[in-house]
Amino acid sequence: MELGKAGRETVVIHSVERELLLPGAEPNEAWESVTDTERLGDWLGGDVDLDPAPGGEFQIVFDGTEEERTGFVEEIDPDEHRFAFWWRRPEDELSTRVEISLEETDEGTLVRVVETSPMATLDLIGIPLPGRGAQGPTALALAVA
Amino acid sequence: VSGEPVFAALSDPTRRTLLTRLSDGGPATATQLAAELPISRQAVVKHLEALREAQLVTSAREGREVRYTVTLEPLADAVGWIADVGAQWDSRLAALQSQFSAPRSPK
Repeated sequence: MELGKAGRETVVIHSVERELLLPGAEPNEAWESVTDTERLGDWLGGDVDLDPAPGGEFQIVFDGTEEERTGFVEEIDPDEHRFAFWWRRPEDELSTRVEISLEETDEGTLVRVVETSPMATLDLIGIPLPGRGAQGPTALALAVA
Repeated sequence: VSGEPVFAALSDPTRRTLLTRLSDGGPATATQLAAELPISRQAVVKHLEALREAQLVTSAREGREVRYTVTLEPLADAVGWIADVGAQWDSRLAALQSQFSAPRSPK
């Protein structure tokens, strides 16, 4: 089964997006928090092992639960300040993609995180779920092929 | 519910149209759907059957017709995932923020 390949088809995918403004922070400083294993692990809440190159291994063992996720680096671009990796949850073997990007603004550095679940794509097609309203718990990403 | 039948059922744009119509407009029969959409009744029935096999709709006989209703079970996992993952990132980003608001500890 291929996803999103067919011409003008529109597919809604599971996607969670969050933003955080770090007032006064320089992008290079924030980039360190994203790519330095110790600093990254500090805010992700676990021990991170990372080979910072496309295809390199990514691993985290979460504090407390000892849950281990393994995956790989898709992209790590210090110029664009974009880091994308995949990880897999052990409990259901669901692989998701995480992209962390930084944007310089007048107020500081804007950190944007998007976690996407392409494999679960098609069980959500933008149907408003009764009881949750059209807005839903978060925005659903619209990927147009 | 395994993801695969859901996946296959939703890979077809006509079936997605039907599902969206049933979700937005409420339960309907194949005859009603065929009247509203540019799809023959025969095709509507075929697609509804695929949706039913994927447990995305349920059917109930009403006189000579069958009425179809959207079910949410296969979608519930998706909603749960979005809520869980969103909460996780909220807490992680709060931790990232504290790296910048707290005095930097020397390495």
